[in-house]
Amino acid sequence: MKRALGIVAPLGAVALLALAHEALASWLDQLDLAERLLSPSGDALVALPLAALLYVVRFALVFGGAPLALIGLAAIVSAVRARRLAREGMAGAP
Amino acid sequence: MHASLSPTPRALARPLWIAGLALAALLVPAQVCGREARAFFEGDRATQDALAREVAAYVDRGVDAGAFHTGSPRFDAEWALGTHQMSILGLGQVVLEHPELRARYLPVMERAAASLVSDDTLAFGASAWGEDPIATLETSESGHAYLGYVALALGMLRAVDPETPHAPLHDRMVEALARRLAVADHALIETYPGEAYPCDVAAVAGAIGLHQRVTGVDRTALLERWGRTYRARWIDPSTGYLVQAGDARTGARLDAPRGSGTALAAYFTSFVPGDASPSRALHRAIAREGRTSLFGFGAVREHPSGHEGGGDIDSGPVVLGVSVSATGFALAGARVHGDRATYESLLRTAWLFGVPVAREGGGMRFVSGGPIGNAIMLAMLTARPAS
Repeated sequence: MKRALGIVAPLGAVALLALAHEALASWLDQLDLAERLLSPSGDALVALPLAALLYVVRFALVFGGAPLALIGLAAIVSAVRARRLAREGMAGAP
Repeated sequence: MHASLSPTPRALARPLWIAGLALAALLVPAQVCGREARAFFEGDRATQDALAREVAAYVDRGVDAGAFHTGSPRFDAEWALGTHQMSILGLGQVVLEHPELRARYLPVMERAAASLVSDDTLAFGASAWGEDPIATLETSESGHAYLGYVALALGMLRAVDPETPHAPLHDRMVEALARRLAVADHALIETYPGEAYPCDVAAVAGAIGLHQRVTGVDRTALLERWGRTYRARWIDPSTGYLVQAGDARTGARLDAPRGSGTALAAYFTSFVPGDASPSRALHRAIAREGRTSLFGFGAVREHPSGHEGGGDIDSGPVVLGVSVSATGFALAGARVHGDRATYESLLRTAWLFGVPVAREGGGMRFVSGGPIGNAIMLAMLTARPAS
């Protein structure tokens, strides 16, 4: 149980990170981020930290989350396969 | 037997996990950001069309100098012109690759062309020279090299629609530019009084080349003569990069060789037919001298080895020597010359920093691009071999 949680919890965190990234990217897209960053008005002051946050989340997702998710999924598949093989081995034992 | 083996795998489990994670961290990001690269390179219709839809939407919303706030009225106006030009080039390339999309995008190209040649859009050139660039096409010997951008876009429009109402203006513009280029001793005509940029003149030559392709008016001799002088004078022999600025009257170099101008000129001159075109040589210089890569993410150096400098309005931000503009522009040369490896590595970087989002109706655009960034990306990503 503890081991399963050790794999599932990071995967859940990656899923949350992905959701946050999608929401932030869509929101900034609707706000016309590029135009606001170029704007001489106060919009740029609001847009800049939001853009920085988007890139922090994006880099964490691409360089941390995606590899972690891949390894985690591989571990789950491997564990499931090992358990099935073990069960088949026990069933086939004399 | 099983019990005796158990401690060894347990002891190895943690290092294996760490090694696996490290390996995945090296390999997976490039795969995540490069998943559309093959489709773009191979001209997949749905992939190109998704970005084209959003560029068309920007054109329909209207883009003028007021949409930009670079801090310079001239640069704002240039960006508006660049947005219209790149929109027409990109949409035209998509239509040429997928003719069934002509009905959807030709009206958008016509609207962009109308904005491109309007007095408002060209007012910055009229102001700089003190004369109307269109009204004086037949009478003025002033350079107005920025008209190369306009004429190149009109040539693309004409390649899609030979009967476009802009055809007569296209003919007049190319005739004037060819006449001015023919008397340019150093293969350079001025963009503004006292200012000449080899990259802008690459657009002029590209416009003349594309006009020849779509109308059959032969200017091969002019382009070959121009190409010889241009290579000798403005392509740096040690790096292959294009000099960024020069003196049209004396032929003196006024700036260093730069990646952003080199990469964009590689695209523009791809419209010059035959051996006169320096496009392949410029792209090779970018791929050999400028391209750098980390974990599959490619980028292009603004300054070649032996040259130092920062960024400006042409290059965009220069981070660790790498230029945003040069990296984006180099996509075009890579596709034009079939350099898949460079194209895919550069697109991964563009994907990472551009932040693509899916839009309603099947569109896709880059969050960080805005009107001009997305128009440039469409033109660069869909650039086609001129032949």
